[in-house]
Amino acid sequence: MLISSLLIYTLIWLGGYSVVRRESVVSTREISKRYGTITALNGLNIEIGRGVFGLIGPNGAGKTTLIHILLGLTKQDAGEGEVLGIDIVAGSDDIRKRTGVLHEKPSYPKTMTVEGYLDKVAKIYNSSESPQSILQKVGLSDAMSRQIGKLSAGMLQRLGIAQSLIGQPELVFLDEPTSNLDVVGRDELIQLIIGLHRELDTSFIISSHILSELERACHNVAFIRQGQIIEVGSVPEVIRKFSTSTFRIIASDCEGLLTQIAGIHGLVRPSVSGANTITFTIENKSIAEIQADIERAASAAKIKVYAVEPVQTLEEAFKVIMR
Amino acid sequence: MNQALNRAGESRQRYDFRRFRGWLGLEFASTYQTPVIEGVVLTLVFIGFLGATLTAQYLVIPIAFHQPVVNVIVALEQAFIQSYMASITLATQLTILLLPLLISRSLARGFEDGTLVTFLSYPVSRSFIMGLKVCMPVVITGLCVTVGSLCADLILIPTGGNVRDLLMITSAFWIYILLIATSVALVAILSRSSTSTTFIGAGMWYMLLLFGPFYAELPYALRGIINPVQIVVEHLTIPAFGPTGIDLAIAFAGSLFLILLMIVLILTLFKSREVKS
Repeated sequence: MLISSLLIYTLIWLGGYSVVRRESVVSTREISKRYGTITALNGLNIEIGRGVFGLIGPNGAGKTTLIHILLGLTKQDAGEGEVLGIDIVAGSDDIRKRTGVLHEKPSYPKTMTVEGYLDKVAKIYNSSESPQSILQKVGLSDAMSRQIGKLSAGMLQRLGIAQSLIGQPELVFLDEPTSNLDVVGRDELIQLIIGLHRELDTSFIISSHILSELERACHNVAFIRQGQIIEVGSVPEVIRKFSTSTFRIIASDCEGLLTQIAGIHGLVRPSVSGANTITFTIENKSIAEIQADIERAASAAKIKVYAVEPVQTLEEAFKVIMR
Repeated sequence: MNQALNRAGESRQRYDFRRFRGWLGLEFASTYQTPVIEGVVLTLVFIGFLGATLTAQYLVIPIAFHQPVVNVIVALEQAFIQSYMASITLATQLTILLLPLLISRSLARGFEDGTLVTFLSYPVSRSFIMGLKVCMPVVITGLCVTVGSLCADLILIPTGGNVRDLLMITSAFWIYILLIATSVALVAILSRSSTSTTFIGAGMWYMLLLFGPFYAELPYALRGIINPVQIVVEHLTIPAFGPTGIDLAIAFAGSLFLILLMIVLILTLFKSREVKS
């Protein structure tokens, strides 16, 4: 009796846990939006669970439009959706109470101080979070009393993250959060997002076309093209699915090697992808056989091949998907 | 149960008040920085003391030329009318200049620099944001004009300034301010440009003032809809032949209807229009 009760409670607990973890933060059905003759979203369907989620797509794919529709800043022409279980049309004010957003080109009152601005935003959200503690979290404590207009690009992005978090949201939208940053700034920001997700359990939806960052930060990603979701899945799944047949040669003379390997059977679509790299895919032949052929061709042309290796990145998956 | 409901109500009021304070602080700090405030105070002082300057001039001239005391009293009466008229003309023109500048800074610039989309991403309705961005310039300009009217009236008490006149002229100014503010806000929403808002907003109201003599033949009530201040001044200065109380009432009602119409139009447009970052 006791064992069976324990078993039932465990199952209920596990079931409940699984429901909580799988609960959608965003759900859309057939969302469409047109701007004149341009179709921004074309019957977009997506379910986004808790965690860090990446929206990937080229410029103009519809990422920003989707975020604006989800926040009630833009009205869709057709379709419906929910954010945190709230209807995006009827409950947009409630959605904004429980979410934060960093826009692609954020703008804040330039003459206000960082602390003063965050203090007002905290009041608007009726949040108990103090500007000091949130600035500590995003690493901007030193700039607390500085005017917003005098902040660097990196500091502004941190302020953007801080204002999106000050309302203690369950979900944060980050639209191209690293677009104005240098390599170091990007790296710091990604670390920050990962840390904040771990610390606060806040879900993030990040829209970006810089894939190396999303690969590090996101649990799941969706590829969006011409206003439609064309692929969705966990980062490792997507990489495995689309990068298995893509390889890279690192060689001393790529242009020369490209002409040498052009006729190799099973080696498809070779192209110079960098100063020292050629990327290609394989068909109907093993990589070991093709590698041997490449090395023979290179040796005949006196070109040094340093490596032939699989390319397994989100970027490669993106290229395959977008072809 | 009732106590719990009361507590919930109080808590809700505290929450709303805190949010309101947050918005007020944000709007004030982001739009009305030091040079703007200084400008408004200077304008206020300028309007208030113009009457005093003119009065002093009218008094100084006869005394300087050793005129009899009776002429000084006549001069003072002239000063009353001249300085009052000058103050009102100046206040009208400054209102036409000040309001488009403030609304352009508060609303149109928000479209341009992207702060509006940032603000709209916070939990707030569009109507509230629009109300805030139009009401604050209205209140600032309205206070400016009210204090100016009060100063002018206090200066002129010896020659018969009274509360009824003060109330009439102040009410007319507030209605005039609301008319200008709503029309300029409409321009701001349609143009989304601070330059267009300032020039079109101020320009169209200056044109209406400039071409005033061309529509002088129109009935008082009709003229008063566009410029309630003008017909109140005419009512006060030419009581026998000027506009009657009924003309004033029709003009005020017409202005208020026009304001209401523009508010509906503003809110409908602002709610339906895209605001981009």
